[in-house]
Amino acid sequence: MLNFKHFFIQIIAGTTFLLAALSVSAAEDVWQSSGGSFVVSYSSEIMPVPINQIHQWVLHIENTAGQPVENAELVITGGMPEHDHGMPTSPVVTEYLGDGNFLVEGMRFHMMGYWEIILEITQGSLNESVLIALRI
Amino acid sequence: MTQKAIQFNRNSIGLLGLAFFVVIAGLFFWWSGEKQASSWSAEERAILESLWLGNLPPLPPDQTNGVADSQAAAKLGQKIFFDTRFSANGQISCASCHQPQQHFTDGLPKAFAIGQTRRHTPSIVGTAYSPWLYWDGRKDSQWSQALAPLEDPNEHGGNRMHYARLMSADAEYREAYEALFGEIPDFSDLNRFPADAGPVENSAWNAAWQAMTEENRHFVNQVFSNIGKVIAAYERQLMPGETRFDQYVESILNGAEENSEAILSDDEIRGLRLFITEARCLECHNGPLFTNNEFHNTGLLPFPGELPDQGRSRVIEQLQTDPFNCFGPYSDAMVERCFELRYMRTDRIELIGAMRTPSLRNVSNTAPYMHKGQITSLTEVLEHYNQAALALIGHNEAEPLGLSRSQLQQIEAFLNTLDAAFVDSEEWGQSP
Repeated sequence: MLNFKHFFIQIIAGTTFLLAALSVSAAEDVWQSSGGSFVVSYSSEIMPVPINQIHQWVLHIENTAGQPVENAELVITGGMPEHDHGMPTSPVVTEYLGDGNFLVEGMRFHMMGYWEIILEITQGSLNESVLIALRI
Repeated sequence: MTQKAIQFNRNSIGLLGLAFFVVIAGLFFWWSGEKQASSWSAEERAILESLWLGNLPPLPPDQTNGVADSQAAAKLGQKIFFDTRFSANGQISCASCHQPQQHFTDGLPKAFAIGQTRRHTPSIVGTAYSPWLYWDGRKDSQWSQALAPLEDPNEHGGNRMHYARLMSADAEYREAYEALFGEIPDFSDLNRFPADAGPVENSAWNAAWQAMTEENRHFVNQVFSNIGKVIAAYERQLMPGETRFDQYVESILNGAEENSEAILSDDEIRGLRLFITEARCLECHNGPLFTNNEFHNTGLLPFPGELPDQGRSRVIEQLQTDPFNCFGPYSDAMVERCFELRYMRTDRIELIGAMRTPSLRNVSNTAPYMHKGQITSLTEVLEHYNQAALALIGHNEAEPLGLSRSQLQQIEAFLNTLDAAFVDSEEWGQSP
């Protein structure tokens, strides 16, 4: 019976994984902020996003009119909700590169699986957060 | 036909049906068992490849150490590594605890040199890939790590002044040193450079160190840090060798699945499958070295009568202020390249009781296990993770696995396939 059980567990686990992977990639890497004021996309210095390697990201932020956001303050946190732990590093936005692009240094992921990056954007009186989901 | 004959026929049909069902079910179990043992999906193959030694990237440059990749430095470092003059009593070398024949460990729960240390001796093989050294990662380079035991009263027990003078006084060392780093300072003036001095527990040596001028201390620190750098250049040569597991993965990747079954047994393959799926080992023991080099609390208990070990949470400040860190004056890296140190995690709560994930290569040869050597066998280690009891301090990241005894045995069988001598062991595995 043990084999039967494993067989079905594997099918269920495989299907769940596939669906989760599809749903993440189907989102086309564009993320809307909580209040709807910002649209965020990211690119990683190393693609696909690696594990166990410190690297940089560039965040691209636009407002709903498609204009690049320039004078925003960004705070990045993140972690693996399924494991109840944060990132192994404290990434920081170190430079505004122009055209709504912000350089993030110190990105690192140390486990394969589902990660959430939380980006807090403050621009003037607006303060909204964006949840970027990714599977590594 | 009599009633009895009909009865008999009904019975035989029933029996035939039952037999048929048993055969089909048996075939299914055989098929699914075989499939489970040897057939890998594309996704699983990618995971196997990620663990394969052939997937180990070239050594990342150590920008903090200008001689990291110098063969001359590695040769000099090898001599120092085995030289017992680098100790307070003339009897301890790095190799006293990091014994090459034991894969650079010592087989003890806690290391014992001049005295007993706080923790278990980890292996050195492959640590050149880790941004952090020690169980709690309190050092950010191999060379900086190599300095600390030299002055620890329970390890080599000496002081940096003594070691710097030894480098300068020994003709062979002096020549090799100067070829790498230029002229070594003249330490013969005992007024400027006392016989023994260093920022250590020994109060006389500490007082002598405090009495030295900053400039003279700097000369000593320079030579001391260079001793660490040549030891690190040697340690960078210690690379893991190819295991049966690696041969198996290579055979799978080459599409030679039939050959692969001769390399690993069914039990070992089932253990491997559990390792990358239900047993969740892969969450921390990932990549070709089977470690993410990060810090995790896995609910390990201290020995009776000992306080729980705070692990990573206790060393954040020490790392940031260590004069031998990446930011410091003895590092060869440009400060803006010190990404690991600059962006390291500093929220202490999550790091309470967290220790660095060790590599699993040669795990069956490096008992006992865990940061204090608390667990004596792999069987008990697997039982520990299977139960995943609440942590005494902090939060145990592991969760109960609910694996059966035979599954745990299969994982253990797989772990035993990760044995291999390190690369170039004849050249680097003994005193030159």
